[in-house]
Amino acid sequence: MDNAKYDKLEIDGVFYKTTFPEKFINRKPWSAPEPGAVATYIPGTIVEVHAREGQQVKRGELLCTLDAMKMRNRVVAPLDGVIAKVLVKKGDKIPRNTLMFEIK
Amino acid sequence: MSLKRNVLDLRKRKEIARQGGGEEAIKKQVAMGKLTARERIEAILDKDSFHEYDMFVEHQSKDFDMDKKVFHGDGVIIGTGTIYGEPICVYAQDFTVAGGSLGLMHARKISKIMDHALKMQVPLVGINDSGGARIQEGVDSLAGYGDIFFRNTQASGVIPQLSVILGPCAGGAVYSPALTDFVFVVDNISKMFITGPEVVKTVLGEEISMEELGGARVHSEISGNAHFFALTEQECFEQIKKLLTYIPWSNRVKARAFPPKEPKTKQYNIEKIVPSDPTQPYDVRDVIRAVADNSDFLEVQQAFARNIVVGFGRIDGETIGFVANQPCVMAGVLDCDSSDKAGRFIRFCDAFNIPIVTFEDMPGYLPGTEQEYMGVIRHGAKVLYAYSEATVPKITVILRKAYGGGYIAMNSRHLKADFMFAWPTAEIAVMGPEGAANIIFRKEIMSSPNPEETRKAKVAEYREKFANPYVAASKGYIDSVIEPSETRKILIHSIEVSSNKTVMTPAKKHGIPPF
Repeated sequence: MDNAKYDKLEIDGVFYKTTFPEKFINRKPWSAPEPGAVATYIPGTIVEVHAREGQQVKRGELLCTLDAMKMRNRVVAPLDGVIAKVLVKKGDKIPRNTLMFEIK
Repeated sequence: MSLKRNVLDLRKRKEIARQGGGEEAIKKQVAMGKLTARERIEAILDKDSFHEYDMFVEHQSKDFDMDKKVFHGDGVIIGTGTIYGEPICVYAQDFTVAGGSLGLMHARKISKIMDHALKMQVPLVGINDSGGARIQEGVDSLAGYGDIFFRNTQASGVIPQLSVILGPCAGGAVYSPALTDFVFVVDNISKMFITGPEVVKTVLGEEISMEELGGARVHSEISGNAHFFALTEQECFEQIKKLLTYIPWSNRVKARAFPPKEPKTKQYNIEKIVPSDPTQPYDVRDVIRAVADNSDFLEVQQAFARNIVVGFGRIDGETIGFVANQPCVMAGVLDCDSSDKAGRFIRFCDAFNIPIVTFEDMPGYLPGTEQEYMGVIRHGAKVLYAYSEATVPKITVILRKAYGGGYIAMNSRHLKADFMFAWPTAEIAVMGPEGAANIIFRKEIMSSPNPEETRKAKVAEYREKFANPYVAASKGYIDSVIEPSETRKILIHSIEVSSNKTVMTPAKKHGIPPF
């Protein structure tokens, strides 16, 4: 056996010689979610931006309208705070997981 | 000994067994913000209805000086009792006794009450609070888990099985809840994972807390392993009792009927909930409340895959399983998670004689590599499978959008829905007008001197001709186009008509759903 071909995986304190599929190698390591980061959960087009930088917002307040899957989706603030950054503008076509607003 | 002395001796023995892990351990349990196993059982059951079995069971193990240790009841309490006068079987792991660790006798007690529940055809409620396998008992402990998993599987679809996670439930132990019908979790108390944070750290180098890895919120919002989330144990017990009022004792009977009650139509005016513009969102739960008795709706998996809503309500006193696309979350698309959620709920309803009412308003399946790589083909097929397989009364009301594959999947006539209704706002078509016009009139649009104007005109033309319920109704795919205000009346009638529904299905050992 050619050892160079194998990786090591530790389970219960024992190292096993094995190989890793691409899906495992390319996995995204876990990182703590940022509660004030508002990202797209669905790809779409920004129809209207309602919030501006420096604005005080309450949880549930409308930040922007996102046209996606034949629906005018309401993107709302996940928490009370101040809009630190607005990263989108009207007409932007954005993929999933694009950061749109940062609330501090 | 005189009888009196015998009785006194018995009382003394019971008193000792009831102490569980003793004062110190109980103090620790309380300090963790948890009730004791016995308090939990008493809180769920009707007052004084609990009958305990196997109180004097003790472990038989000898290795590692185990023969010198006494574990009262071997760390688990089992028995029968009633909830609102109806019988159930229950077990509760006692964390104060050896950390609720599962050894051979502990598992044998759980298996005993499970066998009992299956034989007597009554629901089983299992309260999990255990550090895991009792390592000292070695392979006997694994055998115990296996015996429980086998019984969970045998009882699946025969009696309702509820798992309540009120402490750690880690490693192999998680598979018993996973095999049951409903999992209840409580914020900051429930912890479920296959491998804990320490192992994650050594193997993958990722630092994560127990709560972030397998807390109640994680399983309610992200993984979907839990069905009911509560902030306190007391709230959790109320949820359990409430759920049991909606579901039957077993698959041989129907859920108990309640006196019918009119919905709160002032609060939930069915004519004012759904905007006629198909691009405007709304909360579909208001539609459910507008037709359900007393506007009561017990939502299942409320925080998971919110783009579909499932749960129990009653119509004219009878339990109904509601399935509804949720336009105000991700436009109500079907995706991997929402398909899993709906498919499983439909199968529960079918197994336990609960009619299914589907409210449809969805644009289709969520596109993209992420979904495709996750296997949205396989997961989406679960919805088709579950609806096709179900033989309980199946009623669909199309509120607005019913396009493409989504139209077929959401309990269409073609999957043998018993009743297909559509509101006049329904758009039943092979795809949305925009997409369809772009394909059908591509040449005209491209060769037009003003393509954008032509496109708009063609979209409008397509919408006018096809984005309505009447094309489908003209082919008999829809039984009636109804006014929104008639919905409840028609649902009551349809459920009544189908109360004797009989369906012959081909003989088979079991189907092979796309797991």
